[in-house]
Amino acid sequence: MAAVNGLTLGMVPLPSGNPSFSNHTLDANNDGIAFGFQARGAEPITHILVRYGLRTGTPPAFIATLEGMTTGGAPDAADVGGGSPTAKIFTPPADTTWDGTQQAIELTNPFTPARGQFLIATIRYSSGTIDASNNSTFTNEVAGLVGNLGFPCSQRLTAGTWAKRQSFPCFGIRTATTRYGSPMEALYNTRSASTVGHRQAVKFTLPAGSGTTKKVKGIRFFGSPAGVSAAKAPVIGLWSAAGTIQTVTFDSDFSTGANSSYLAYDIYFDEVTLTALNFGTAYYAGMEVADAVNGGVLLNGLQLDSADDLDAYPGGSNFHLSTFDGTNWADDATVRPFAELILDDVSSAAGGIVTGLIGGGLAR
Amino acid sequence: MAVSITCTSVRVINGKRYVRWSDKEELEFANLADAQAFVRNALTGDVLKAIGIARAIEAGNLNALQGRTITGDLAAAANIVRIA
Repeated sequence: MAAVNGLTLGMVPLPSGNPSFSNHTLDANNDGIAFGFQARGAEPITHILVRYGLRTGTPPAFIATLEGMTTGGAPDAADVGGGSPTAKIFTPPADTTWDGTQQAIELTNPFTPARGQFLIATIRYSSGTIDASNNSTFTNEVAGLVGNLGFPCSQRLTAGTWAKRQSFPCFGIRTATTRYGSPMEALYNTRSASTVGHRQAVKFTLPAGSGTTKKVKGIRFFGSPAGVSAAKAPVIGLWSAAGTIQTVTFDSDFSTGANSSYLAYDIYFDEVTLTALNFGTAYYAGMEVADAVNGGVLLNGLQLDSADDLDAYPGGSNFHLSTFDGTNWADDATVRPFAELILDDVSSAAGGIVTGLIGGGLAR
Repeated sequence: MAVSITCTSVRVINGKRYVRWSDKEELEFANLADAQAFVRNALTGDVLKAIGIARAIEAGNLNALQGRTITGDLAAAANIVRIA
């Protein structure tokens, strides 16, 4: 038997207040953005995923590059691809089609890093008119979503000087088979209908073969369990496609702000005996509306550009949003809720047991 | 020590609010409610206390703020923070 109390996979996102996208304006030829990260493996990196903020006028061309780091941690301006450069020139359109969307910039040549190699992805000015009337903003971080990061981190180049940033970086790395970093396109902030029985939940499947059974004793999530007012009694639940497994009723008056979004909740089930869940089977953990008047529930999350981007977050494609309309579950594999499982135990095929927290967040 | 920042642009495009600053940061809000929530969260954090501390710790002002109330009011754009 092995016990790993407090097990956390990846860095847990901790919204602090209402997150908002923080864009850097590239309106001079010595402006830019960068993301420092480590390679997760020796698989060729093919794309840099970056969220485009807003276009003004006719944007100039920019260049995306994978670079090494100086001893001070800034981009060293040397393409790690050497004779097979990664650098790719791209030009945002002079219209609104890119605004607020994630863009996948395909590198000119894929770069195969060593596992754990420290790299930095940059976007700088390349050519064309760049000024106050012709520029672009790029979202290189999210304010109010995990504070005071040390690494990985974003950087901003302003008037030729790089500055490291402590806010949650907004970027991604794409290989042929996976994604990493923290790619995103928007923040999920859509409250359910105030209809009794409606649910918002994280649908999760722990891969078959990685254990035999598990028990979930609670859920950590970020969201809002009540609508316009408190004094509601939403159900925090664990469900399967077949029906209800565990529930606990939460009095929203116990919350510091039941109708405020992006608040963190640790809620435990109250069953005397927890149900053993199977690996390889999908379950749902989240909230259910119990009041038809202002009782809508909200499970906050990250809205991704595509389901493939789930790979960048703990659980990968096995953890995403699902909503229930009283009859059917509807999956949305482009939303990764801020929700984690608090495990009572996990039994392996050999009989071992671990306990802990399956974390959601920045990396896995 | 003086710290300042200038708001250089406020735009509403497709319902989103964009507020740009002289350090080239542009904050993006999905809608008006999100922008208001951002301000409210900031004001209910340490911002009001920081304003009070900045005034109070100066020599000659050590008791200037005792008993006075610092108010952040989203409804009063011209006087968002006031000391009374």
